[in-house]
Amino acid sequence: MSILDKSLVVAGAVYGSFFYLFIFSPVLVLVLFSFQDGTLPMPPFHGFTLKWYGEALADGNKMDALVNSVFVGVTSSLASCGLGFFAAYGLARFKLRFAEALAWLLIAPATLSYLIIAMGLLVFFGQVGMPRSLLTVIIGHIVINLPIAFAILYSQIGSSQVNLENAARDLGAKEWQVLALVVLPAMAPAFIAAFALCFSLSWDEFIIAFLLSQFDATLPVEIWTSVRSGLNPVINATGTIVFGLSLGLFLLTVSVIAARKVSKYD
Amino acid sequence: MTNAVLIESLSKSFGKVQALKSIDLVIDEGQYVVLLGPSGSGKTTLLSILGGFLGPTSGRICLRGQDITGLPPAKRPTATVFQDYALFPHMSVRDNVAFGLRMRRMAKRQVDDAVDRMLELVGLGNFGDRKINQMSGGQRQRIALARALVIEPVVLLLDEPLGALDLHLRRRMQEEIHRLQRKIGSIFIHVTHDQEEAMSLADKVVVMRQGNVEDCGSPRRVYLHPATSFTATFMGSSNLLNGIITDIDDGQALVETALGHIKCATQQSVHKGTAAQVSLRPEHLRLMNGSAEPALVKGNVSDLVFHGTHMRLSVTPEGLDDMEITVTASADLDVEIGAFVELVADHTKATLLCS
Repeated sequence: MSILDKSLVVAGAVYGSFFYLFIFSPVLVLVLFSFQDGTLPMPPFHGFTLKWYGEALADGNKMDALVNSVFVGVTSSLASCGLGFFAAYGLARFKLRFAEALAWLLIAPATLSYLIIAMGLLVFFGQVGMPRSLLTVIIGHIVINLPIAFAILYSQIGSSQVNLENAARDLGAKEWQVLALVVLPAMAPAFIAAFALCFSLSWDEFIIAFLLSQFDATLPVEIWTSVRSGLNPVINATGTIVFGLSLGLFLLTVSVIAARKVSKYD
Repeated sequence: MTNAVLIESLSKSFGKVQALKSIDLVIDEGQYVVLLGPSGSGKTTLLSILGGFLGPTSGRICLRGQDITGLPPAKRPTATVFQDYALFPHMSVRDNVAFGLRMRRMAKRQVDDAVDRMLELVGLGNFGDRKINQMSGGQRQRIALARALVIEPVVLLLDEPLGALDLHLRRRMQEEIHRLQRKIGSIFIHVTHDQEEAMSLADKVVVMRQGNVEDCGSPRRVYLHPATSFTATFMGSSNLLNGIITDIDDGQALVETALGHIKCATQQSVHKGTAAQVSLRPEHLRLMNGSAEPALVKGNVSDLVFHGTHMRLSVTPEGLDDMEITVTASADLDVEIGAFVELVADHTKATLLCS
């Protein structure tokens, strides 16, 4: 190996290290100072304590917000996957005029700013006299998640899927059996991927949750409220819990999809 | 009762495109039928209509005397082996094979017995609990066969079943499917564009082109005496010579071609003075070594391809520069491009084609 090659390898390693440091340092700082033995979550690091986690878990508002976030995430993701599947199945199976245009129209809201969606919904709910609540937040999250769930599921209903259905019918399955025994199980990885992505978007979402909720805050809104009164290691601890749950969900999804894909021949 | 499958003036149009143009076909019990044709010939459309996945525009299909034209796939005594196998990826090998029987609400013990027997038959006795994605291409092919055959269909439909396999495996599976069909005795209808596959499997070859049946008969008959010029060139290769019928005598027609007179057998009624085409297979010509027979072709070798078992020469006849005659020769023949050769034809094998 020449000196030039060696220096290129070193330069690559240095560049790579900075790259990852840049991406992960905010998370590392957040996690590190959640263990800060002191009242300010900033350098210098004084020592290790778990007391802020104790406070975070004892904080009724934060725990309520956590439960609200999970509830909003699960219901909006389930609804998005359900509606997205029906739309994808219908568009893929029945020859409709303008099917491509309809598909694009369904995906288009994904390009809209959340602020626009939130304000539009705010005006709408005001007009129909629907009070702001977790329900309105859920509806808002369905608006942002449906295009994503649809796009993922639609991309997985290919022509090989058509043959699977035909094979099931050929072997005597009734339509509901085709759906329950073949279509849905064969698409399970796509459903898991769609659900996980929807949930993490909802879990993380601030603007819609902020503008469309009133008394029941989701976790991002609750954290934002706390930050307004100054930095505090409790917020770091809460943020670390949020990050840990996201990471767990991510790892679960990856492992489920990886387990299904393990194959010597594909 | 020998006419197990009867297809009567079956047509299918997709918008303005006529995929099938009034097909008539009779299939006997226990026959292995191969639908052979290039892409766009309508062979897959015909198979889909037989399976019930497509409805015909007109015409009807009878199976053992029962009109099944309007029946959905589940109600037909047919089963299909799909080109991509369409195995259920989330089920084990055993559950795939058992699917059809479970849909028929057969008792669990009977299902288990039938599945075991079928897996044994296709040589996958020990693989029942494997996942589909742990199986190789050839094994998947066998699972697809087992899954379709276990419901004991009267007719098994195979849509290019060997298309996804490499050549070696394809030839082996070909033999296996053939053996299986002989053992089970049900009707197999198999779609392919591989003429070698068609010849080695079929009791009956149906050559299709642009929605029509071009020729239909035993592989031997179709190969040796093709009905049309398309069949002559699609089933193997052939030298087609245009000419005029100058004499007819006792079932033999004398055709005047650019190469001179060729005598050929004819079953059809033909008339003196009409234009005709003669098909001469490359193996029905041979290089002459001082034989007494008059040479049909004298010319120079313009191309030479080695095939292992034999060589194939292209010969340009003297004075006919835009014509090329193909001939097979023994693999150890010492000949080079440009060499002058004389060819003799086996006139008994020349076939007169209807226009």
